[in-house]
This record gives sequence, C-alpha cells and structure tokens, in this order.
Amino acid sequence: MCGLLNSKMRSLALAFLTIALSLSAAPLKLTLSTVPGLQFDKPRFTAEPGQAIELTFKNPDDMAHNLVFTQPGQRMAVVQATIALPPDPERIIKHPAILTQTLTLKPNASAVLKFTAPKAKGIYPYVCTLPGHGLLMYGAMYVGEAMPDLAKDEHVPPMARAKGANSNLHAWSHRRPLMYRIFMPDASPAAIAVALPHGVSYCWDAGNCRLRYAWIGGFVDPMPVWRANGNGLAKIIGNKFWTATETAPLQVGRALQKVEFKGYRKIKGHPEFHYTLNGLDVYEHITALPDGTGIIRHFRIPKIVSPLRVTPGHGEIDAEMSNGVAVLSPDQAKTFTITHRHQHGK
Amino acid sequence: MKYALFSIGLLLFTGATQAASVNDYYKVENIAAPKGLDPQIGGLTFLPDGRLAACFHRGEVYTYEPKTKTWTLFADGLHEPLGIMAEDNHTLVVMQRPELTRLRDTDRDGTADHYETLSDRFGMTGNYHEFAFGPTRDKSGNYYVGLNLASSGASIRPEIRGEFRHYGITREQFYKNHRDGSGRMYSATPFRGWILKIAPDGKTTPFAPGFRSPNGVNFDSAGRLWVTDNQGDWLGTSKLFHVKEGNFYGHPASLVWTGQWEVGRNPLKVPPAEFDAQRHRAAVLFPQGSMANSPTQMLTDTTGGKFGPFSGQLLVGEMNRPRILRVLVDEVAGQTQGACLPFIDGGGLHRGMHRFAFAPDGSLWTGSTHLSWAGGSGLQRVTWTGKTPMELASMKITERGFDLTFTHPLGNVEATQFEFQRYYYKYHQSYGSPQLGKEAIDVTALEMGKNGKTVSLALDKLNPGYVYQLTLKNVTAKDKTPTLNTFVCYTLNTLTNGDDKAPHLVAASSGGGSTAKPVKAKPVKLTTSPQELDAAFAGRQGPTFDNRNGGFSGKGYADFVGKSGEHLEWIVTAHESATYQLAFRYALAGGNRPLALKVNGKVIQKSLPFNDTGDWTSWKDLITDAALQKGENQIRLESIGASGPNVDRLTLKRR
Repeated sequence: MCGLLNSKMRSLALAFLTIALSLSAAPLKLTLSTVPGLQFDKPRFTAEPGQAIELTFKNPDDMAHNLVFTQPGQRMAVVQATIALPPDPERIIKHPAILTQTLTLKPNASAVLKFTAPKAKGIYPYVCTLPGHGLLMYGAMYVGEAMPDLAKDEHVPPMARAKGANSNLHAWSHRRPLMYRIFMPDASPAAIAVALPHGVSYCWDAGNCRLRYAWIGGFVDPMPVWRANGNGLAKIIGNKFWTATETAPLQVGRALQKVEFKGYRKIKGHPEFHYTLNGLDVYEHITALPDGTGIIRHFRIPKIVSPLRVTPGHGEIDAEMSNGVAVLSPDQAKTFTITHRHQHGK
Repeated sequence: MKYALFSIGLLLFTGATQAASVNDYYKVENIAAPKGLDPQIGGLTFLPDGRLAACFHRGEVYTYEPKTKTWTLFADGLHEPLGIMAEDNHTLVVMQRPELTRLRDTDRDGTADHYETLSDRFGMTGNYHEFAFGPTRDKSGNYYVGLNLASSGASIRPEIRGEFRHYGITREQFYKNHRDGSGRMYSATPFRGWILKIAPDGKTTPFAPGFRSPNGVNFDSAGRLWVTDNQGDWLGTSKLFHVKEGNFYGHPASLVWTGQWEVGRNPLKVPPAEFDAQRHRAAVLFPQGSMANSPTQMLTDTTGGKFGPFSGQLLVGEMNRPRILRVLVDEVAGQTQGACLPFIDGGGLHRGMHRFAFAPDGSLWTGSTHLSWAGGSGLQRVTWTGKTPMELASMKITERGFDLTFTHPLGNVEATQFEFQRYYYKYHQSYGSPQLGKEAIDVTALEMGKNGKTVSLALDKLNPGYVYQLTLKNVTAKDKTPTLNTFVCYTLNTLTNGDDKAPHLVAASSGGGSTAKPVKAKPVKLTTSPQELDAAFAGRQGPTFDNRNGGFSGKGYADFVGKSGEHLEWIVTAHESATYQLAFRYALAGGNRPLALKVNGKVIQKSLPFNDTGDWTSWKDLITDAALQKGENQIRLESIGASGPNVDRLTLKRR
C-alpha cells in the first residue's frame, strides 16, 4: 500500500518536473569543483536544450585549473591545440570548437560561468586544458540526452567509470592512503599498489625491493584479481608518469647486490618499506608532493659505513650527478630523498 | 499420496525415538559480517582474550568480539590470505600468497602497524593456482605452510619471483604454449608442492614434497602434522596425509626441488611405479563424489567434551557440500590410517566449509569461501545441544576385520546390517581415478562386546591398498535411535601384521594419457525448440566430467584431458529431418582449442573455432548449423591436437 502511494506521488512529481522543464523557465544552477588527482567532482550533469546555466567553478586543489566546454567530440582537438601554448593564466583560448571557458584559476580561487545550453541535443565535453590535464580531467554535459550507466559511460574518465562499477569494494568507504598487495602489470607477482593523497599512486615490488612506477589519476581496479581465483591483473586507473629503469636504484660495495624484503611499518597509513641490501637495512617511505605533482621517496640507511651509488632514473636528488649516478658519502646516505615529478604537473 | 500420509503418521506417533536430524544435536547460527565486505574467509583463529580473528578474500583482517558482536578492522591490503594464527592478543601471523607475515599492533590502538615478513623464501610464477596455505605451529614455535602447484589452466607471468626450473619445457615454451608439456599441475619455481618449515627467526626449510593443493595444514593435539590434498593428477581422490619430514607424498612435480633430483630429468616421463615405491600413502582417502571433493582444514576437537562426544577426534571441512567430516584415526603396526564419515551434514551449514576454530566456550566457528569454485561464504557458529547422537565413535582394524564402537549401546544387530564394499584408486598421472576393483565384501561373523557399544566384525577379504566402504543399514541404539551418519570409508593401507603391499595401485604399463573407460551417451528425444542438452547427457571417451569451475548449467561440464583423439557426443532423436542451430556452451581460459564436429559420422566442421572466453568461469555459446535426420542422430565433438575447452551443454534450435 505504502509502495503504491509512493509510486503515485513519484509520477505526480515527475509530471510537474516535465512541465517545468518544457517551459525552460528555471535556470540551472550548479557548482563544479576540482578534486586532487586531476578530477572534477562531477563527472557529468544534464541540462535542457537552450536552458540558462549558472555554473560556479571552484578550485580547492593545490594546482591551477581551468574549465572549457567544447562541441560534441571535440575535447581532444581542443586539448591538442592548446598543448603547445606557453602557460598564460590570462589567456582566452581561441578555438572554433569551444563553447565557453573560464580563465585559469589559481588554487582556492573560484569563478562563475553564465551561459546557455546549446539548442542542439548532444553530449558536450568539459575539460581542463592545462598541459597534461586534458587526458584525465574532463566530464560531460548531457543536453537533452539520457545518461547511460556511469560504469558504461564512455564520455567520463575511466576512474569515474570504475567508481560506478565498484562503488563498494570494502566495508569502509574509499580512502587514501590505501594499499593492496595484488597482482600488478609490469611487476613481479609480489607487487604492492599504494594510493597516496592528491591522486598519486605507485607500484612497489616486494619481489625485488624496488619502486617500479608511479601514476596520477585514480587508483586500481582490483576486480580482475578479486572477482575469481586470482587469474588476472589489477588495472591501473590513470596515467603513468614515472617508470623505473632496469638499473638497481641503490648499490653498496662491489659485490652482487642481494636484496631481501622484510616488511613495512605504517606511518599515518603510509607504508615504510624495509629491506636489506647486502645485509644492510634500508627503509623507504614514499609520500605525495604537497601540490600533487609527484612523489618523494624518503630513504633511511642508518648503519651505512661505505659510499652509496644511487641511480635515480629520471628523478631529482640533492647530490652531484655523473652519468645518471650520484655517489653519496655514508653520512649523506643515512637519509636522503629522490623526487619524481609528473612532467606536466606545474 | 498414500505414502506421504503414512510417513506423516509415522512422524506424529513415533517422533521421540525417530529423531535423527543433525539439528537435534548441533545448532548452526549465521554470524553477520560487516556490510560491504566480501565475506569469503581465508582463515580463522581465536585470540587468548576470546576475540575471533578472521582474514578475508580482499585482504582484510578483522577481529570480532562475540560478547558485543562488534567487528574491528585490524589489518588490510593482504594478498589472498588463506590462514591465520594468533601469537598473542596484539600479534597475528598470516599466510598470504607472497609470504608468511607477522601483523603487530605495537602501539596497541587495535590496528596492526608493523607488517613483518617472516619468510618469502619461496617462488611465485604469478599463476593463479599458486595459493599459499597455513600456518600451523609446532611446540618449538616453528611455523608450517603449504604451497600449491601452478595449474596448466594458465601459464607463468613475464616476471616471476625465484628461480625458474622445469625439465619438461623451456621458459619460452611456457609463453608460447605451456600446455604442450607443462604438466597438468606444475612446479616451475621453488618450492611449489612442498610443505615448508619456517623457524621463528625466518629460517626456511623445505620439509616434505609431493603435494598438489595442500589446503589444510595443521597439527593435532597428539603433535601429528596433517595435510589435506585435492583430487587431480596423481591423486585418484582427495586425501589426508600424516606428514613427516623428508617423506614424499605422491605428486612428483615438486621433486625437481629436492637436492637428489637428477638435473634435466622430467618427472612427467618417469614411470609411476618408481614414484609409487618412494611415496608415502595417505592415511585417509575421501572418496570423490560421495565423501568429499575438496577437503579443507583439519582441526582436532580440543574442547574436552564441550562440543560433544568426539573430543580428540579430527574434523575436516569440505568445499562442495554443506558438510564437516570426522576422521577416526587408527594406529596400525606403527602406521597411521583411519576412517572418515560425515559429521555435520546440512543442518543449515554453508557450503565451502574452509576454516574452523574452537571458541573458549567450546563452540565451533566456521568460515566459508569459494574463490569462484563450488563453495560459499560467511561466518557461522556451531554449538552442541548437549544431546549425544547415535554415531560411530571409532573404527579399528583387527586381524579378521573391524571393531566398531558407537556412542550408545547398540540395539540388536545382524551381520547383514553392515554392508561393506571395497575399491581402490589408481596412482597415475591422469586426473582422478575411477573406483577400481569394486566388490561387495561379506561380513562372515559378528560379535558384540561386553559394553554393548562395540561390535566386532570379521570380513571375507582383508587386503592392503583398498578403501573399505561401510554402509550401516538400520543400525540403531538400544532405544531405537537411528545412527545419524551411516556412510563410512576406512582406508586400509596396513594390516595388523604390518603388511602394506599393494601392487595393484599402479599398473605396470600406465604412463598417463587417455586410457579412461568410455562413457555412453544418454539418448535424448527432441521435444521442444530450443532444447538444452547438458554435458551430463553426452557420451565421452577421454574427457572427464567436472564441476569445479562455476557458472555452468546443469550438473557440470566435460573437460578434455589429452590433446587429440578424445570425443564428446550427444545422441538425439528428431521426429523429422531439418536444419538445426547447434550452440555449444563452453569456457576456455586462454588460447584456441578447435574441435572437429561430426554429425552421424560425417565431418561437418573440420575445425570448430573454440576461442578463449577469458576465464574458466566465463561461459559462451559457439554457434553453427547442421542438418539432422529423422530418427537417431549422433553429434560428436572430437579433439584434433589442441585438447578442447570445457563444454557445458549443447542447445539445439530448429532453423
């Protein structure tokens, strides 16, 4: 009985809604915010053809972003056209496929965009065109079109689709930092995946005690491993921005470099990996750069007495480099960092 | 209808003495898991303070306080943990795929902050079947874990941990077509197929080889180490081994990691008789299909009577049925063997009875899993009602037969109420074994013991190397209470005089391959369109009938074993000639395995392209057309060099 009433009330409400929309009287007011990790908080929204829109764009992220609406299917064309432009926060981008745009917003800035939804039905992309962002940071305005399941929507970023598919992986809601020991691509079977704050993630390999790669965007889709008996690999959601070279990152002495994994301690949820390198205890603790543009690897080798050769492999280290190698004195080697930056992060 | 009325009457008027439902003796209760958790349980243990700790499929470890029914997350991010033990209230040891790990809550906030690797000194190829089981612990604090073999259902990954070694095919061949020589189950990295011993300081010693899928690794209260293993290649049926250091337990893939193994010698090419001479037979066999298909953990009843009359006995879980088994151990001439029988069968139990732990109050907590095979999920609690069921309490071999002791004094019994059969399982490279040499064994004499609970039986034939299967026919207690579980299987390895010779277990000429007996098709009349014909109706020579990979319809599917010359065929009767659409539902984890399609002996398709479906649990239809004649038709799939997919059913539809 109760259910019947509810469904009647629902259809009444729907009828009113239809009338309201067909008059196109009410403007659409909405807020769109950035989320660390090159995402918008809303991967998509709907508007009626010709509807007036008042959109508040907020940027609580640690880096600058803009918001550009384009004609259907023109997101990548606009992104490609702007990629070569030198950064200029005041520039208005000139491109025939752009519907409307904001200026570049600094962290914690906001702007209001007033425009009218196109009269032609269609799926209109919105995107941040700052260098490197356009591949991941986008969404879709559905004008007079029905939305498919989020999990199957090709107009939203992969990480938004994955959220639609796996909204409930655990008894707790998604959090960062988060780590899974799970089968990963391009690593040994003893791989570890870690999601850091600010949308940065990395794969550390307990099979050979090395950081293997790091990516920006979402975390992983673990379901190819979890949905059955483990005959699959977790899928990375996002874009790799750093991959280790073949060379061992740390070397002591001349003997064969033998590593052994010892486990990890959790420091505010972040693992500090512990392994031995030719019997010497090494600790590696990885955090996200505060502005979300990369990772810092904090090393500790408390008992080192001989020089350490470090091959950071496209990483920054506070030491003199020669042929891609830095030789640290035992004192320097007791604590040092290597930073890997997302090349388009600034 | 008449019968139904009669049995209702019987129930009404004889209720008290006819009670023989397991729930009269044991209550089964579901324990709700945290919402949003995939409650597939890999391990269960009780902490000294009375809390339960459980590890789950997606890597979480929770503690549960039974008094307040509260779950607390203790650790997360583990890789398929399949066993857990408590060291103290703040320290748990977990076996996960890559390592044995100690989880320590050093700051006492209820959450582990130190994940200490106790040992990862074994290899991983990334093959899904390389599960890691355990741990159990001996009196000196050493841990024992079991490492699965890899399955030919998948290959090895580009990067592996540990040394690669395989004397059948090279690493490159593994990436091209591993099925062509990997062996059905393989050990391509150390120490797959072994039980390992791990000292408290992490020192790791290979302890005993010869296992396939050693899910249950546990000590009993007498200090014996027990390991369960699963039916498959080299295992005619599932088994329970009493394991001692250095012994070999039958699956030869792991032997390449012994120091003595000759470099380059392929275990797949060695005659089974050589392994048979070296192997130590299982103490207990679990007949496939009737007793257990996938035995799990062994646990001793250490409750001192709080859980009923079976204190000190061994309990073993089973995946495919809602069943916990009991094992009655018999020490004979210095050897361990014994009987198994259902203990709690149904009564509200989940399937997938994977892990067990006794609470301080003597209740049994059970955790289920499935990992996409047959099984279940969730936590349950089993409590004894205080009422003693009429059950077989012990079975001991004598010079002439067996002594059976029951929990209650017996009513009048005759020899014919103890129906014995015997059979054996062949030891060979092929998957499983039929029950061979099956025959009824007469009870030639019966004698009641003075206590009224024991009956001594003399048997017509008593020889080593057989399962003696006993069915109790209306055996009741003195007060007419029927025996609750009436199906018992005793594994006779050794006679009281120490004779354990059983040459029939390994045929001299057997080198594996498809020598299985053909199975006849069950003819089916086409009455509707479309009409589904399960693989169970098909005749077959070579393929086995299986149900381990989920998602099939009907009772199971046909599994091609050898590479070629095997077939699967349906016999159907059509009432007129017509063209039919044939849809074969199948699963194939990787690669292509074309089969030839023949109708009434004529080749219709030389190579029907069965392409991979992505997983052994992903089923798809492959559709083709064929003309059927009026009357009987034979529709046959033949393997043509690439083995075949798992075939679930054939659907016929009039065009």
